[in-house]
Formats: sequence, structure tokens, C-alpha cells
Amino acid sequence: MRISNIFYFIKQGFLGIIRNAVMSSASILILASSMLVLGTFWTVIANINSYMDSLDELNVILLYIAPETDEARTEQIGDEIRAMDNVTNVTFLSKEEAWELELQKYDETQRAIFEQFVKLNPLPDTYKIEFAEIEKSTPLLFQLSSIEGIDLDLKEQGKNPKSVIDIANKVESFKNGISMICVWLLIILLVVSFFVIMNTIRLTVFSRKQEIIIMRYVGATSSFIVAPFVVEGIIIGVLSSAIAYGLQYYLYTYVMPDMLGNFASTGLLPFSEFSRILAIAFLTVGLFAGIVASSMSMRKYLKA
Amino acid sequence: MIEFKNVSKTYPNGTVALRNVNLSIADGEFVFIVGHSGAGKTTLTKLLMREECITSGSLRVNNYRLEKIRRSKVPYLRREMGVVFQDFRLFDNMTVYENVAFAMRVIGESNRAINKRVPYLLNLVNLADKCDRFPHELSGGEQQRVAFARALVNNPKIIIADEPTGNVDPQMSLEIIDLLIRINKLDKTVIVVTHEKSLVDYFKKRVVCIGDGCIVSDKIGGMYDAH
Ligand SMILES: Nc1ncnc2c1ncn2[C@@H]1O[C@H](COP(=O)(O)OP(=O)(O)OP(=O)(O)O)[C@@H](O)[C@H]1O
Ligand SMILES: [Mg+2]
Repeated sequence: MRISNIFYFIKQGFLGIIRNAVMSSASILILASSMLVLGTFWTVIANINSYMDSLDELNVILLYIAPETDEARTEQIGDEIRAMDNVTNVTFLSKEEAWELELQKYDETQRAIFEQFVKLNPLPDTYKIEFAEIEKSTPLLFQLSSIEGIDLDLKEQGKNPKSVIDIANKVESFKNGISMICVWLLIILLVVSFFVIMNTIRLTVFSRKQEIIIMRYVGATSSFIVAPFVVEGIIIGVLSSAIAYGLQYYLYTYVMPDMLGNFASTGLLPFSEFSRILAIAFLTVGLFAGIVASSMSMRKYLKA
Repeated sequence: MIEFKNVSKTYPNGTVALRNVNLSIADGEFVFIVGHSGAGKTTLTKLLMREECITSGSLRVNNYRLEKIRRSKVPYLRREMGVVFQDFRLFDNMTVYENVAFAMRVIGESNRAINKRVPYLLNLVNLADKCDRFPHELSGGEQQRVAFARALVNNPKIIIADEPTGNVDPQMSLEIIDLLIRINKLDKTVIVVTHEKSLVDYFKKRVVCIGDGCIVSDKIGGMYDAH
């Protein structure tokens, strides 16, 4: 293939875009929006994941002992817990120790005031249970909740045993929910953009039908005839991904923090985390849609 | 080398355009193809360039066997010949220069070769001063000469001209046939389809006469004799 031919193809590709500017813009916008859905989904999931990783207390359960339970039974409870499946480490925190820990959070004067007013230590004896597998946490929680001598008032309120697994599960199912919605949305948008691109290029092909026929008569090969249209598809794909990338950057750095309010300040991942993967994904989607759609819209005209 | 062996052509609508044609044209020959309107002359040229497929028989053009040529080889078959179509088939949105240059671009010639060869041919057909015009800004005869330049630009071994004198005055007709004869002297096969009795008689070349899809006469130096 000659350089001069490549220039010819590129020129014809751009001419094709300009010749039906309205349809070309429509394809670019639709393709870019599907990429934006993909990108937004991607960044949200990545942020949720990184947030989940930061919760180091995910595999810790606190079990509160009832005030009336005596010391012997309390110790026995510790042994029962240690014997349970999936448990890796059990630490006992007496109410005095817990109180001490609590007080350490305050400075001298505040502490003095607390000690004066709160004569009665309100905290219960507590077992801190670390375990290995989060997937098996449900049976463990059930076993713990049926131990005799734990604080039943708190159990009533759903705070005994206490863990963050519940929250984690909710986040997980929320994540799966939006994943499903996004995947479907994405598929629909990709199919739609595919057809829009195909139609756009078909219009160019149609307006140049006579020309294509003459080209064949003067001995042009199929690839020579198709190349300008494939270039047109590539231009649509590349422009879409560039626009989607720019919008994604703007959305992520300026719009998303506003929408999320406080959460954002506690740490959205920086956009640079995604820049490379998004650029690659957008270009891949764009080029794929552009090239496949343009070759498909040409097929009819390549029969000798 | 062109060889028709028992070639028949029936169009999809049932029209039988050619019947059992046997015709052999050697390299470097000059042949007039004559016959009444609807006899099948254009069909013959369409078969040669594989615009239409033969229905039965066998057809050979140089090293290509057209009854079994692969689709991907058709462009290369077409590069063996330069065709001046009855309806010219110029690109409406390209200038005269671009029309001729495009035939070179299609076969992958460099810009340098194009810039050298196209002006030479436009000179040859006397259109150098109109190279920036579009086809619709030209007379019928001028358009025809553009088509000629395009057919010749890639230096093909076979030149086929369908009614090259249909749109020009008698003087120009003579000049065009004269040009074709000069091209023929460069060792190229020239096939001219025409109605013009006087021209055929004047040049004393081989004349193949077609009537209702059959070859009715094939004489060297022959007279225009359709029946
Ligand atoms: N595409 C087609 N489909 C069906 N019939 C066709 C087609 N092209 C030509 N024909 C028929 O085939 C016959 C031969 O046509 P052709 O064009 O070869 O004639 P011709 O000798 O070139 O005539 P003219 O001198 O008027 O150009 C005619 O009867 C014509 O009607
Ligand atoms: Mg004809």
C-alpha cells in the first residue's frame, strides 16, 4: 500500500464524515455516551472496591456479655468461642479495660469530668472475635448469637453480636445491582451505536454508489474501495472515544465529588488510577464498533 | 489473446443477447465489431471485462479463464484492458485531470508517476487546457476523449471502445479512429464497436458483424455488411 493511497483514504474518510455531518455527529454522540456509561460504572465500582478494602474491621465480630453473667461463665464462653469453626483469634476485653480504652480517647480534663459523672461503668464485658473467611460468617454469627449469657437487650436491638459484615453485604449487593443495570444499559447502547454507525456509513456509501461501480470497472480491488469507509468508521470511533474520555475526566473530577458530598473528601481515587485503562477501553470499543460497522455496511457493494 | 468458444449469454430476464459465439482475436489485432442496435455488441464487451458473466461456453482473455475466474481476480483482469464505455462513466465529482489520475491511483501508482503520465495523455487527446473542468462542463465529444485518456492511462494491452465516434463530428471520428490505429501500432489489441459504415469501409480492417446475437460475418478488410 502506498503512502499516497493512505492519504487518499484518510481524505475520503473525512469527506464522508463531513458529507453527512448530522448522522456522523449522531453516531459519535451515541457511541460516546455508551462509553461514558461504561467509564462511570468502572470508576464507581473501583471506588467501592477500594473503600471496602479500607474497612479492615470486616472480619471482626464483637460479642457483648450480659452484666449478670458471672466470671466463670464468661471464661467458659471464651472457650466455646475458641472451639468454633472459622475463628482465628479471640480477645477478652473486660468492662474496666473497655472503659479505660474509651477514656483514652479524651484528654485529662475531659476524663476527669467523665469519671466524676459516670460512676457506673456503662460498658459490658466484650469478646473481640477475629475470623478467617467472610463467606462463612453467617453461621458463625448465628452460633455466637445463641450462646447463653450474652447481652440479650442488645441482641434484641440487633447489636449483639456486632459486625460490619451486614453493611458490607449491603454494599456488595448494591454493587451487583448497579453492575447488572450498567451491563444491560451498556449492551443496549452498544447495539444502538453500532446500528447508527452502520446507517451513517451506509448513507455515504449510497451517495457514492455510482462512483463505487465505476471504481470497480477501472480495476479497483475491494480493499481499495472499502478502505475509505473503514477510515470513516475509525474516525467516528476515535472521535467518540476522545470525547468520552474528556467528558469522563470532567465528570469524575468536578461533578462526582459535588454529587457525593462528604464521601468524596474522604477519598475518591484519583482519576489517574483510571486514565490508562479507560483510554484503552474507549479506543477498543470505538475502533471495534467503527471498523465492524463500516465493513458490514459495505458488504453488499463488494460483489464483483 | 481473446478467445470466445461457444459463448452464449442470456440475461436474467430471459433475453438471449449472444448465442454460440466463436471468436478469436490475436494480440495486436485491430477489430471492428458492427451490427444493428440490440445485436449484442455491448454485451460482448461486458463479457470481456466481466461486468456480466457468460451463461455457457468458455471465454479466455490473456491468462484469465472467465468462466471460472475468482472474484478477487476480477480487478486484475480489468487492468488488462482499457475500456471506453458507451456512456463514458466518468466520475461526476472529479475534474478531467482527477478522472484520469484516479485510474492510476486505483492500481497503486505513485503521485510522481501520476503527475508525469496524466498531462501527457491529456495532451494526446487535446484536452490539456480543460483539465480543471468537471465532466458536466464538457461537450459529449470532450467527455469521450476524457474516457479515452482514462482507458489509455495505465497502458493496457487491450483497448475496447464502445461507439467511440457516437458523439463527435465526422472529422473528429476520423481522428479518433486514427488515434486508435496509432495505439494499435504500439502492439496493442484494439476492439472498436461502431455503427458507422463509412469508417469501417475506409480503414479496411478486420470486421466482425453480429446480428441477433450471432456472428454473421468475419472478414479482413471487409465491408460493413450487416445482413
Ligand atoms: N442488463 C440487461 N438485461 C436484460 N437485457 C439486456 C440487458 N442489457 C442488454 N440487454 C438486451 O440484450 C440485447 C443486446 O444488447 P446490447 O446492449 O449488447 O446491444 P448493442 O448491440 O450494444 O446495441 P446498441 O448498438 O444499441 O448499443 C438487447 O436486446 C438488449 O435489450
Ligand atoms: Mg451498445
